Amino acid sequence: MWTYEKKLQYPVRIAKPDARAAKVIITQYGGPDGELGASMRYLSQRYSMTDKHAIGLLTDIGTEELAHLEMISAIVYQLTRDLSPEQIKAQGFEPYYVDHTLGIYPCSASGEPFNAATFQSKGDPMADLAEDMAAEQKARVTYDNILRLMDDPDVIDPIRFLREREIVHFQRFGEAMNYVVEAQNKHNVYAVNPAYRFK
Amino acid sequence: MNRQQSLKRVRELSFMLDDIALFLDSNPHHQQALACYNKYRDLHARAVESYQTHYGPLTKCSAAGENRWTWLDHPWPWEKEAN
Repeated sequence: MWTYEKKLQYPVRIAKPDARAAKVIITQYGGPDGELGASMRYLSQRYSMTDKHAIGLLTDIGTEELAHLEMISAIVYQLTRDLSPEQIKAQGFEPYYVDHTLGIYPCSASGEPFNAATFQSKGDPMADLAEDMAAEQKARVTYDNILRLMDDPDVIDPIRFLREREIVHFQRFGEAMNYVVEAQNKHNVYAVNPAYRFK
Repeated sequence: MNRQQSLKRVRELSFMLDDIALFLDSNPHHQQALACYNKYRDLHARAVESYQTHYGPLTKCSAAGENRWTWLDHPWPWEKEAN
Protein backbone atom coordinates (compact mmCIF):
# COMPACT_ATOMS: atom_id res chain seq x y z
CA MET A 1 0.00 0.00 0.00
CA TRP A 2 1.23 3.48 -0.75
CA THR A 3 0.12 6.96 0.33
CA TYR A 4 0.53 9.96 -1.96
CA GLU A 5 1.99 13.15 -0.50
CA LYS A 6 1.14 16.27 -2.47
CA LYS A 7 4.70 17.59 -2.71
CA LEU A 8 7.93 16.83 -4.55
CA GLN A 9 10.82 15.32 -2.60
CA TYR A 10 12.98 18.25 -3.78
CA PRO A 11 11.62 21.40 -5.48
CA VAL A 12 11.52 21.86 -9.27
CA ARG A 13 11.12 25.48 -10.45
CA ILE A 14 12.17 25.99 -14.05
CA ALA A 15 11.64 29.45 -15.54
CA LYS A 16 12.85 28.87 -19.11
CA PRO A 17 11.43 26.17 -21.43
CA ASP A 18 14.09 24.12 -23.22
CA ALA A 19 12.87 21.17 -25.30
CA ARG A 20 16.40 20.09 -26.17
CA ALA A 21 17.18 19.60 -22.45
CA ALA A 22 13.85 17.81 -21.90
CA LYS A 23 14.63 15.33 -24.65
CA VAL A 24 17.83 14.32 -22.84
CA ILE A 25 16.46 14.34 -19.28
CA ILE A 26 13.41 12.17 -20.13
CA THR A 27 15.81 9.22 -20.34
CA GLN A 28 15.87 9.24 -16.53
CA TYR A 29 12.09 8.66 -16.63
CA GLY A 30 11.82 5.75 -19.08
CA GLY A 31 15.37 5.05 -20.28
CA PRO A 32 17.66 2.05 -19.56
CA ASP A 33 18.99 3.46 -16.25
CA GLY A 34 15.96 5.58 -15.37
CA GLU A 35 13.90 5.97 -12.22
CA LEU A 36 10.94 3.91 -13.48
CA GLY A 37 13.15 0.86 -14.05
CA ALA A 38 14.88 1.48 -10.70
CA SER A 39 11.61 1.49 -8.79
CA MET A 40 10.19 -1.57 -10.57
CA ARG A 41 13.48 -3.47 -10.11
CA TYR A 42 13.63 -2.93 -6.34
CA LEU A 43 9.95 -3.44 -5.65
CA SER A 44 9.97 -6.65 -7.72
CA GLN A 45 13.08 -8.08 -6.07
CA ARG A 46 11.69 -7.89 -2.53
CA TYR A 47 9.78 -11.16 -2.56
CA SER A 48 12.74 -13.48 -2.98
CA MET A 49 15.16 -11.45 -0.84
CA THR A 50 16.33 -13.41 2.21
CA ASP A 51 17.98 -10.69 4.32
CA LYS A 52 15.64 -8.49 6.36
CA HIS A 53 17.79 -5.36 5.99
CA ALA A 54 17.81 -5.79 2.21
CA ILE A 55 14.01 -6.28 2.12
CA GLY A 56 13.57 -3.02 4.03
CA LEU A 57 15.93 -1.18 1.70
CA LEU A 58 14.28 -2.53 -1.47
CA THR A 59 10.91 -1.36 -0.16
CA ASP A 60 12.06 2.09 0.96
CA ILE A 61 14.45 2.82 -1.93
CA GLY A 62 11.88 1.44 -4.42
CA THR A 63 9.41 3.93 -2.94
CA GLU A 64 11.89 6.84 -3.04
CA GLU A 65 12.51 6.10 -6.73
CA LEU A 66 8.81 6.79 -7.36
CA ALA A 67 9.38 10.25 -5.88
CA HIS A 68 12.36 10.67 -8.24
CA LEU A 69 10.22 9.59 -11.17
CA GLU A 70 7.83 12.38 -10.25
CA MET A 71 10.69 14.92 -10.06
CA ILE A 72 11.99 13.91 -13.52
CA SER A 73 8.46 14.15 -14.91
CA ALA A 74 8.08 17.61 -13.35
CA ILE A 75 11.39 18.74 -14.90
CA VAL A 76 10.36 17.52 -18.38
CA TYR A 77 6.86 18.98 -17.96
CA GLN A 78 8.16 22.42 -16.95
CA LEU A 79 10.81 22.40 -19.69
CA THR A 80 8.20 21.72 -22.39
CA ARG A 81 5.15 23.61 -21.13
CA ASP A 82 3.56 25.92 -23.71
CA LEU A 83 6.15 25.33 -26.43
CA SER A 84 5.13 26.90 -29.75
CA PRO A 85 5.41 24.89 -33.00
CA GLU A 86 8.32 27.20 -33.92
CA GLN A 87 10.17 26.38 -30.68
CA ILE A 88 9.46 22.67 -31.16
CA LYS A 89 11.06 22.78 -34.60
CA ALA A 90 13.97 25.02 -33.60
CA GLN A 91 14.78 22.81 -30.57
CA GLY A 92 14.59 19.46 -32.40
CA PHE A 93 11.54 18.21 -30.46
CA GLU A 94 9.44 17.12 -33.48
CA PRO A 95 9.98 13.31 -33.11
CA TYR A 96 8.65 13.32 -29.53
CA TYR A 97 5.94 15.90 -30.24
CA VAL A 98 4.40 14.01 -33.13
CA ASP A 99 3.82 10.90 -30.95
CA HIS A 100 3.05 12.43 -27.54
CA THR A 101 2.29 16.16 -28.11
CA LEU A 102 3.40 17.62 -24.74
CA GLY A 103 2.30 14.59 -22.70
CA ILE A 104 4.86 12.91 -20.42
CA TYR A 105 5.69 9.42 -21.74
CA PRO A 106 8.31 7.00 -20.32
CA CYS A 107 10.95 6.62 -23.01
CA SER A 108 14.71 6.95 -23.43
CA ALA A 109 16.55 9.94 -24.90
CA SER A 110 16.52 8.15 -28.26
CA GLY A 111 12.72 7.65 -28.05
CA GLU A 112 12.66 3.93 -27.14
CA PRO A 113 9.61 3.21 -24.95
CA PHE A 114 10.28 1.97 -21.40
CA ASN A 115 11.29 -1.68 -21.45
CA ALA A 116 11.28 -4.04 -18.43
CA ALA A 117 14.12 -5.93 -20.13
CA THR A 118 16.41 -3.16 -18.79
CA PHE A 119 16.28 -4.80 -15.34
CA GLN A 120 16.16 -8.21 -13.70
CA SER A 121 14.52 -9.88 -10.76
CA LYS A 122 16.70 -12.96 -10.67
CA GLY A 123 15.40 -14.49 -7.45
CA ASP A 124 18.95 -14.78 -6.04
CA PRO A 125 19.92 -12.27 -3.32
CA MET A 126 23.58 -11.93 -4.31
CA ALA A 127 22.80 -11.55 -8.02
CA ASP A 128 20.00 -9.05 -7.34
CA LEU A 129 21.96 -6.88 -4.89
CA ALA A 130 24.97 -6.80 -7.23
CA GLU A 131 22.63 -5.60 -9.99
CA ASP A 132 21.16 -2.97 -7.66
CA MET A 133 24.59 -1.54 -6.84
CA ALA A 134 25.48 -1.45 -10.54
CA ALA A 135 22.12 0.19 -11.33
CA GLU A 136 22.81 3.02 -8.86
CA GLN A 137 26.22 3.62 -10.46
CA LYS A 138 24.78 3.59 -13.98
CA ALA A 139 22.11 6.10 -12.98
CA ARG A 140 24.81 8.25 -11.35
CA VAL A 141 26.80 8.22 -14.62
CA THR A 142 23.67 9.22 -16.57
CA TYR A 143 23.18 12.18 -14.22
CA ASP A 144 26.87 13.10 -14.65
CA ASN A 145 26.35 13.07 -18.43
CA ILE A 146 23.17 15.17 -18.13
CA LEU A 147 25.01 17.70 -15.93
CA ARG A 148 27.73 18.11 -18.57
CA LEU A 149 25.07 18.98 -21.15
CA MET A 150 23.07 21.47 -19.02
CA ASP A 151 23.71 25.15 -18.36
CA ASP A 152 20.45 26.29 -16.69
CA PRO A 153 20.89 26.46 -12.86
CA ASP A 154 17.13 25.79 -12.45
CA VAL A 155 17.68 22.38 -14.09
CA ILE A 156 21.11 21.63 -12.63
CA ASP A 157 19.94 22.03 -9.01
CA PRO A 158 17.35 19.18 -8.88
CA ILE A 159 19.53 16.95 -11.12
CA ARG A 160 22.40 17.32 -8.64
CA PHE A 161 20.07 16.27 -5.83
CA LEU A 162 19.03 13.14 -7.77
CA ARG A 163 22.67 12.31 -8.51
CA GLU A 164 23.52 12.45 -4.80
CA ARG A 165 20.72 10.02 -3.99
CA GLU A 166 22.22 7.44 -6.36
CA ILE A 167 25.41 7.52 -4.30
CA VAL A 168 23.55 7.13 -0.98
CA HIS A 169 21.50 4.21 -2.35
CA PHE A 170 24.68 2.52 -3.63
CA GLN A 171 26.13 2.81 -0.14
CA ARG A 172 23.03 1.31 1.52
CA PHE A 173 22.83 -1.61 -0.95
CA GLY A 174 26.50 -2.28 -0.25
CA GLU A 175 25.71 -2.58 3.46
CA ALA A 176 22.83 -4.96 2.65
CA MET A 177 25.17 -7.07 0.55
CA ASN A 178 27.56 -7.36 3.51
CA TYR A 179 24.76 -9.00 5.52
CA VAL A 180 24.12 -11.51 2.73
CA VAL A 181 27.85 -12.28 2.46
CA GLU A 182 28.04 -12.77 6.23
CA ALA A 183 25.12 -15.24 6.15
CA GLN A 184 26.65 -17.15 3.22
CA ASN A 185 30.03 -17.29 4.97
CA LYS A 186 28.44 -19.03 7.96
CA HIS A 187 27.67 -21.99 5.73
CA ASN A 188 30.92 -21.62 3.83
CA VAL A 189 29.04 -21.66 0.52
CA TYR A 190 28.45 -19.31 -2.34
CA ALA A 191 27.37 -21.94 -4.82
CA VAL A 192 23.72 -22.11 -3.76
CA ASN A 193 20.82 -19.72 -3.98
CA PRO A 194 19.44 -19.11 -0.44
CA ALA A 195 16.10 -17.95 -1.89
CA TYR A 196 15.44 -21.26 -3.69
CA ARG A 197 15.46 -24.36 -1.49
CA PHE A 198 15.51 -27.09 -4.17
CA LYS A 199 19.19 -27.78 -4.77
CA MET B 1 5.93 31.73 7.33
CA ASN B 2 4.53 32.04 3.82
CA ARG B 3 3.44 28.95 1.87
CA GLN B 4 6.79 28.46 0.15
CA GLN B 5 8.75 28.69 3.43
CA SER B 6 6.32 26.38 5.21
CA LEU B 7 6.56 23.79 2.40
CA LYS B 8 10.37 24.03 2.42
CA ARG B 9 10.35 23.22 6.14
CA VAL B 10 8.11 20.16 5.59
CA ARG B 11 10.21 18.99 2.64
CA GLU B 12 13.52 19.32 4.48
CA LEU B 13 12.31 17.44 7.56
CA SER B 14 10.60 14.82 5.45
CA PHE B 15 13.81 14.26 3.51
CA MET B 16 15.83 13.87 6.71
CA LEU B 17 13.41 11.16 7.83
CA ASP B 18 13.67 9.39 4.44
CA ASP B 19 17.45 9.45 4.53
CA ILE B 20 17.82 8.37 8.17
CA ALA B 21 15.25 5.57 7.59
CA LEU B 22 17.44 4.07 4.85
CA PHE B 23 20.43 4.18 7.18
CA LEU B 24 18.36 2.49 9.92
CA ASP B 25 17.27 -0.24 7.49
CA SER B 26 20.88 -1.37 7.28
CA ASN B 27 21.90 -0.25 10.82
CA PRO B 28 18.79 -0.95 12.96
CA HIS B 29 20.64 -0.72 16.30
CA HIS B 30 22.40 2.60 15.69
CA GLN B 31 21.40 4.61 18.78
CA GLN B 32 22.45 8.01 17.46
CA ALA B 33 20.46 7.50 14.25
CA LEU B 34 17.42 6.35 16.26
CA ALA B 35 17.58 9.46 18.45
CA CYS B 36 17.89 11.61 15.33
CA TYR B 37 14.91 9.91 13.71
CA ASN B 38 12.71 10.48 16.76
CA LYS B 39 13.73 14.13 17.03
CA TYR B 40 12.98 14.92 13.37
CA ARG B 41 9.79 12.84 13.35
CA ASP B 42 8.31 15.15 15.98
CA LEU B 43 9.50 18.30 14.21
CA HIS B 44 8.12 16.92 10.92
CA ALA B 45 4.72 16.20 12.46
CA ARG B 46 4.50 19.78 13.71
CA ALA B 47 5.63 21.24 10.37
CA VAL B 48 3.03 19.16 8.49
CA GLU B 49 0.28 20.24 10.86
CA SER B 50 1.22 23.88 10.49
CA TYR B 51 1.38 23.65 6.67
CA GLN B 52 -1.96 21.87 6.39
CA THR B 53 -3.70 24.32 8.74
CA HIS B 54 -2.68 27.28 6.59
CA TYR B 55 -2.12 26.03 3.05
CA GLY B 56 -4.15 22.89 2.37
CA PRO B 57 -3.79 19.11 2.51
CA LEU B 58 -0.59 17.15 1.87
CA THR B 59 -2.41 13.81 2.08
CA LYS B 60 -6.02 12.83 1.42
CA CYS B 61 -6.60 12.22 5.16
CA SER B 62 -6.59 15.98 5.67
CA ALA B 63 -8.68 16.87 2.61
CA ALA B 64 -12.19 16.50 4.03
CA GLY B 65 -13.02 20.06 5.05
CA GLU B 66 -16.16 21.11 6.91
CA ASN B 67 -18.33 21.26 3.83
CA ARG B 68 -16.10 20.43 0.88
CA TRP B 69 -13.25 18.24 -0.41
CA THR B 70 -10.08 20.38 -0.54
CA TRP B 71 -7.71 17.86 -2.23
CA LEU B 72 -8.21 19.56 -5.62
CA ASP B 73 -7.86 23.18 -4.50
CA HIS B 74 -4.15 23.84 -4.90
CA PRO B 75 -1.66 23.33 -7.73
CA TRP B 76 -0.23 19.80 -8.07
CA PRO B 77 3.43 19.31 -7.15
CA TRP B 78 4.73 19.23 -10.74
CA GLU B 79 3.57 22.81 -11.35
CA LYS B 80 6.25 25.46 -10.91
CA GLU B 81 3.85 27.52 -8.74
CA ALA B 82 3.52 24.63 -6.25
CA ASN B 83 7.23 24.59 -5.44
